[in-house]
Amino acid sequence: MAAAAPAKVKLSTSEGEEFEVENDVAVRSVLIKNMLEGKSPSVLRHVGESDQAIPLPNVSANVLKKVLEWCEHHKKDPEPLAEDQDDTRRKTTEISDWDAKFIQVDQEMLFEIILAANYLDIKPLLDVGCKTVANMIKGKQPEEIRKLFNIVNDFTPEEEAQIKKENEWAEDR
Amino acid sequence: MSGRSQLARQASKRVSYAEASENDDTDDGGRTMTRRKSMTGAKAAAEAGEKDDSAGSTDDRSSDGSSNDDADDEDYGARPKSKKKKKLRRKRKAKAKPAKKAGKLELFKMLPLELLGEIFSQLPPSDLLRLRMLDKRFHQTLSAKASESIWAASRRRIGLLDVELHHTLTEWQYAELIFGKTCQGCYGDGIRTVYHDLFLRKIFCASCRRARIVNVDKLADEEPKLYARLHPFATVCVKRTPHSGVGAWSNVGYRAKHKYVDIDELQYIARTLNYLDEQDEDSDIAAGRESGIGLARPANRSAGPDFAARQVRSSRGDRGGGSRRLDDHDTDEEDAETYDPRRAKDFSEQREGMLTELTEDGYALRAALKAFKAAATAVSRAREEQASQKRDAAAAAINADRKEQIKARLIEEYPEFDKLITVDDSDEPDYYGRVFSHRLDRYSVGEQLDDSEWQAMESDVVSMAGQVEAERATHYQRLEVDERQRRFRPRYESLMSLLEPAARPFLPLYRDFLQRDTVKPMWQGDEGVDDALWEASLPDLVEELEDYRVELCFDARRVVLSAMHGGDADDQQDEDEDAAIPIGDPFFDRATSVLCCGFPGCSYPDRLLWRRISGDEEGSARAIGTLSEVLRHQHAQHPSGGTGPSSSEPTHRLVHLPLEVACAMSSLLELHHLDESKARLIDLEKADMLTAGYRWLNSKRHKQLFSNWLELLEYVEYQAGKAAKIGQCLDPPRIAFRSKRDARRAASKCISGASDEEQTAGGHVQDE
Repeated sequence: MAAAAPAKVKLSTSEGEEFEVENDVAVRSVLIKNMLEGKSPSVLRHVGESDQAIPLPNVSANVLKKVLEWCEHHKKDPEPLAEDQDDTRRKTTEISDWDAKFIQVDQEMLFEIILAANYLDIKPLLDVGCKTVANMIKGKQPEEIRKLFNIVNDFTPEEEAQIKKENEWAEDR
Repeated sequence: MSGRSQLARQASKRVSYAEASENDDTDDGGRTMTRRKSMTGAKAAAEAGEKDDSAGSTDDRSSDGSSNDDADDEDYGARPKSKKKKKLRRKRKAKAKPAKKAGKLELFKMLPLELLGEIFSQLPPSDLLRLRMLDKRFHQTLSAKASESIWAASRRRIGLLDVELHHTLTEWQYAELIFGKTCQGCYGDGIRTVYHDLFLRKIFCASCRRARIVNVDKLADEEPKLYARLHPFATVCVKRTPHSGVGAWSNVGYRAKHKYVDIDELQYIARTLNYLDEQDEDSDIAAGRESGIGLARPANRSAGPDFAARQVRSSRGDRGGGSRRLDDHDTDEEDAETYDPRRAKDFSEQREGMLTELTEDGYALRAALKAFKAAATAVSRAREEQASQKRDAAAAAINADRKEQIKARLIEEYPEFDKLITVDDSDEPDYYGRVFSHRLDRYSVGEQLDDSEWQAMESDVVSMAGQVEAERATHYQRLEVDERQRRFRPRYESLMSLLEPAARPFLPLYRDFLQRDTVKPMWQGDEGVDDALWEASLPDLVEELEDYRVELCFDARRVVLSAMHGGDADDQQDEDEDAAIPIGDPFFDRATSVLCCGFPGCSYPDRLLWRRISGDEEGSARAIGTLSEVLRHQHAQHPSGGTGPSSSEPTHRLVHLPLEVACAMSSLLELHHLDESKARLIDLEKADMLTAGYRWLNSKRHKQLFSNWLELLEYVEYQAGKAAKIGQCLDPPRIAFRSKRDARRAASKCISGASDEEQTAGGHVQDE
């Protein structure tokens, strides 16, 4: 049986810095929620019951601060039902005004937020991050995208022609 | 050598088009795709240039990349820096601005694959197609079987649903088929319009589509050579589509006849069938039987696809009895009786089922696409509605009191704007007052205006008011000039009525007339023109107008000679320079002296519309014809200079004669067996009256038939103008009669009329 969750939870970052947050803010992260509910692996079970901080070795302090800021703002959001979660996530491409402002950060921070959201299993935040990156790519010409990613076209003209041919449907393939 | 072929040679000598088409391929059907190819070539070059630039920019960062750049600089240094190049460089710089963003997403390359997939699945399939072509790594990632879910998610997210097909497509093939922008005929990139044929599962650009899609029912007429050597089973074994190779595709129903095929595929199928026949022959020889294939195969001209259909039918019917003989009533030809292609028959039977399935797949794909388009329309409508709601909300937020306060404050501190705000003249629409008021909207949201707010917005509001005031001043100034010119118009009309009818077209158009040295001071003066002054200045004016006419005629003559005789024109013109040109100069009556109206915007479609509106179907004031006719056209259709020249530009520069039109005219004269050096335009018209029309044989456009010479030349001029805009030139037009009867009549007239002259071969008579 899972014990009743305490009102506050302590989170420990990779640097060892501790953050004390409200329970309903922390449970936006499915990873933390599972720990608190005792569904997590045995090593971490009952971690929420004591005063011991939950270790988050993959998240640095400034990123966690940013993630918690998002969780704080979204703590009252209704949780989507499991079955239509996938559908609604995928269908809406727009980002709310607050989220758009929140995610206006430099490349490194955006990258870290996405990684942290994935690690902490915060799907809506992961979506916001992915959509932001996707919006930067959307509608751009290949050359522009190459510049964005800083990559060089390593196809020879022959290879490029071959790929274009492969894109066609052929009866004998 | 005939005059036309000389001109054709000149044309190819003078223009760059011939060079551009050197590298162009000709497909098996003998159809050229020159223009599109050269265009895509240019685009490819531009892209290559871009690539070079980008490579250069990455080289900059690397330590050893300086040599390339230096070489480039040297190259540039050797050439003179023209304005155009400077402009280009500026453009490139402007384009290169986003270079600041270079590497903005560099870090994201390092994301684990599942997270990259998350990002990619947020993109529409069209972007995924582009991503797939970025580099080898992206291509590998997005082509992996595992990434099909990304494509599917992306596709479903935009509303393009799954579709069950007999012959499945991979996800990226599906995306390519629906959203691809690469023509699968010429593989050119950056083509604006491509056509997605869901039945053939192909994407074609307009020119490849025109070149490759043929009507299988008309193959015998349109491609007789190909049809004659085509395997008789080929047309039943090839994929078919209801979509033709030209025009916009209508949404064909289920009953639409699938009669169009891809000519390349047709030839491929024919080769396969021929190979199967050869195998039949080999096995017959090996078994010691007398072969019925090869020598005995009926020519397609006689047997055709019907034969193939009968053969397939008969083989199906005979399967029970084990015999493959034809039905007795099927064909009378002995060849066909002995022709028994066993393997080809089996092949065509196999294909039949597959083709039916593919057609069903085509309709399924079309239904999916239709549903997707409907969903997309619904989404865009919802967005529009949302935007309009936002606009309404913004309009509701405007505080009218606050706006009035801003206006009052402005007049209080800057009384010179008084007129702008308090214009209340019933004769004059308060347009600029309203413009100003509208522009104040963004400052008028909020409560009562206070001092600090006014100070913050003051400079902006004042500069805006100054701008609107300047617009207002220009507007009224223009109105005043227009009014003066309008008042002067009766003088022009009276002068026109004084002239002989033949001289009237040579009077400058009103806009140009106003710019004459004698005329200008008369209408620009404040007091207007009195009769005495007008009478006094009339002799000077007449002299000036005569100079204008002579100059106009010389210019027109120069235009004609340079188009008709190329480089030799200068010598001839110098000889004629001293001679005066009378009003009825016979030079301009010649058919080869035909001229075109050069007003920008006076094009073939516009003229058709104008004729329809004015009811002048015959085109009495022609935009192409003798000099006098073209000038009459300009007086009728561009009375005040029209949309054409600025007031300082004289009319006579606006008569032109494109080389293509000159060539077409020569071709017409040769067709009618008229002497180029003597024939008058009226002679051509007389001969034209007796014909049913013409066919432009090497037209690159769908329209090839013309009812008379004028329509033909107007269309040639229109197409030549379009080609000139992209720095190209048309091939010299080859013209034939539309009907065989006209061709025969012209030929017989030539034989009877000029028995002693060597009869020229009817190279232009279309052999149908």
